[in-house]
Amino acid sequence: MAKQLYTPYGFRDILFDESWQQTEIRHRLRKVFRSFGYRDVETPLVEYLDVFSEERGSISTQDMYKFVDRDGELLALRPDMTPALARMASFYYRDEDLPLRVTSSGPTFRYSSQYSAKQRQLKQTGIELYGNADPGKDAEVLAASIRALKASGVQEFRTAVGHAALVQSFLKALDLTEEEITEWSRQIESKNTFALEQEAQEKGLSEVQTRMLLLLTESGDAEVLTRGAELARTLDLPAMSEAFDWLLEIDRQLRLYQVETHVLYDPGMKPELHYYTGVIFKGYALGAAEPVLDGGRYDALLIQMGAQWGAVGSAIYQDRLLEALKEQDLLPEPFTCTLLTGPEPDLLIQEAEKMRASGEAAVCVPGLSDEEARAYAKTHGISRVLVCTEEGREQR
Amino acid sequence: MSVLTIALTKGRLAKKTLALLEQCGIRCDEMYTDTRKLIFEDPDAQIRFFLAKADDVPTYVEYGAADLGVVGKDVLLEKQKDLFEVLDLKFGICRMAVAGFPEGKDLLRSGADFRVATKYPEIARQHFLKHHQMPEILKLSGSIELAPIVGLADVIVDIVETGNTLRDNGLEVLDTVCPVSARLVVNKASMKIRHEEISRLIRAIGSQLEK
Repeated sequence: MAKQLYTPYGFRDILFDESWQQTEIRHRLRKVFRSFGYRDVETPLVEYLDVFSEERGSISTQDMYKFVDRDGELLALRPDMTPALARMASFYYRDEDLPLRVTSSGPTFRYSSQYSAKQRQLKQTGIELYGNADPGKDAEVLAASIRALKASGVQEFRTAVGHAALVQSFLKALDLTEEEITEWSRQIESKNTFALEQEAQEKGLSEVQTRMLLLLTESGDAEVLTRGAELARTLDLPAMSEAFDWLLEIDRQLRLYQVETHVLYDPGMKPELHYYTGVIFKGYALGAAEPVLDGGRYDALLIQMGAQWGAVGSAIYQDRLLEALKEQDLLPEPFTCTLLTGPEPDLLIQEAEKMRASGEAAVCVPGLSDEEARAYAKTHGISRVLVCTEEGREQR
Repeated sequence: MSVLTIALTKGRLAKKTLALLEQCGIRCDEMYTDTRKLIFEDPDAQIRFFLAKADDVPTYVEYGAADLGVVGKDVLLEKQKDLFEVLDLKFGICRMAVAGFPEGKDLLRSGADFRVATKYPEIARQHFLKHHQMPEILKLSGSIELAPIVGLADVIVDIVETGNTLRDNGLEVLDTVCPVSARLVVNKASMKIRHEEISRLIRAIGSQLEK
């Protein structure tokens, strides 16, 4: 017997209805991005490893698919779109062309641990907005992303919004070792208030410092930002109060877009990728265990690539979004098609062409019995069977 | 709003967790009956529970099949799953330790090659790396104490509560790896989407613990 061939670990085939749904969802997302003036670009699946190297702050090179080409160059399958798009933007555009809005869609690749159901190829559709840094651009990218999620059909979702500078600048102002900083930021991220209260006491933090530490574990509407900004001013931490003010301005503008109900401020959020320097956000949808939306501001990355601009971007993880849509029972209607059968192949072609001309889908399989036709229709996701003879069409 | 699902670790941890939840006003009588049901509900509090093997609890929570879970720190350290650890429940207290025959102490210090048997290969690897040692690590599924006795390994890394089993077999604790206790963990997506309900529950449990 021939050897059975199958897909590599972490990769899978996407068949029929699901493939159609993927295309449909991508279409819905891009329509929204288009309406905000984002223009389509495509970068290659393969880039020089340099584009994603350690200093760029993308995922760890250990988790990337790397290889050497014939000329001995180190290449990588893109693990993430942002650095590749930043490379493109900084190569083709000059300062006077700004602001620049681009959208792109396609697969990304990263290793995940074995024996979990996690996929190694993830489809992303995202946007990037290049230009001088201001909260308005962040609000626009957030609003467009939330609108895109809404347009996908998903209902229960929330986007957590934080700022990369908050936790770091607060912990650095305290008298802590590197290890303590790592441990505390982990506790803050997982909102372990009880452990933090204890450690604050042991370290002898002042009352105001403790209040700030606990505020970082809170999440909620803009009110938490207002309190944070006040505490930061009392503590005389300008980097923190600027970050809170920045988020407050984003919040003000999100109200203009009327998407604020989908936002939850989470000052304790930790940037997962090191290139984030400002606002960071992650969107979660009921039914998907991992974020469906991921993004933030990454000014330092553009500067590394030789452009003196800021940048903010977001990516929607399509596979996870589909998972949520499935769980919430909101998947797009599958594609409908009619099966034409009968003794005369030529007649079937003529009938099918008529249907196609009026916008219907039809497939011809001559010579099936009623039972065979029904079985065939079932296997191939066909909703209707028509038997065509010289006498006319008859539905079965 | 739909119910919150909590995954409990089968056995003693589940009993203690249920007792704690009862103090918070969440009670599920079904759980105390001898039944073959796999899922239990407390309709008033809008919470449902299921029991799982300790090793599986982090997986249920990571993938969102359960919004919350209660599991030992040992399992969390070993599995390294992507979830929020929000509370130390202060029960199921024990420690992770390196144990072996008394001579093992010198062996650990000597820099010579040695062999470790454990249910927790990842914890063992990390611990010895910290001490600049790279012993051969064997993963076993149970009765770890047997390994040094029959000469399969030089030392073991395992949970130690009273140390009685070790003593009865002429073994002793050679080094402590870390303290262990039960933890409340939360799925990352649930924490954002169902933030209000979950934080209310965490606060309720947390204030019971402080009493």
